Amino acid sequence: MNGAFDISASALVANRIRMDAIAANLAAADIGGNPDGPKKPPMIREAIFQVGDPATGSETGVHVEDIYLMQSWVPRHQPLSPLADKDGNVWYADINPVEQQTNMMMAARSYEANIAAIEARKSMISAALEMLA
Amino acid sequence: MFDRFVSGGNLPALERVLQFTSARQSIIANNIANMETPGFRPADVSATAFQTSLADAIDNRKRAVAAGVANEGLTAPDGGLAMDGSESIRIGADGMQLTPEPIGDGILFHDGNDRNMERILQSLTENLLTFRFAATLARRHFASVDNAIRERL
Repeated sequence: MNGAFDISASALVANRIRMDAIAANLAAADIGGNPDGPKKPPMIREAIFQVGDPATGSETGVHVEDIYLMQSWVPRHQPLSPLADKDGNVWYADINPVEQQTNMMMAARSYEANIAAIEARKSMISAALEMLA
Repeated sequence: MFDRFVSGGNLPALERVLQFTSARQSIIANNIANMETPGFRPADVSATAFQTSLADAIDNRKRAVAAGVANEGLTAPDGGLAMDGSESIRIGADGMQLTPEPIGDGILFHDGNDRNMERILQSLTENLLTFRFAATLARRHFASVDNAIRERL
């Protein structure tokens, strides 16, 4: 009977992890680095969803299978920076704020949809319990 | 004697409705959970097919009662209302098992997941209301049995 809670809860966890990845991307947007030096620019993180829930061993539900680290760097000309390469460029992760914002909204909406499924289940269980009263 | 209160009337049909909606809720919750999983095909069990099958089962029972045949041979393996199963709805000794079939053509997105949020939430709501409806009717049934036992309202 509580299986549906597991399914929806797994989706809540997966969407929270996705939100964490987006937050990490936005936070790292202004971290510069030198691809040839010891301090490299950050990677872009993207959560990859897959069907199934390893936490309960169920075939239904959803989980984050992997977090892809995408190397996509753009140069900014900052010759005075100690991080600059031989051409005077500091490299940053190519994070598109619009894209990240869109993903964030989708994660939030998806989270809400799963809350709705949990509410529906709760309502069904309370209706079933009312039969006893 | 008491058997007639639980295996007669509308209670066996309500039991089937509750079993079906309860199992279907898990399927719909899975569709919502995987709304953004690449390559996931949403699946569902046809509520119309279930209702048709349930209507046939009720008709069969009415005919059997009118013909004077007792409940012999009309009881499913789990002791409930005898119902014709199908590929997606199977009734065994452990109750009702649903096998969902993929729905949606998935032509909009290249991964085949059509992400039809409105349809999925519509089926979630319809399913919930059907469950509450059956649960309320069952509660009324038990309340009237209770009144009969107490011999007062």
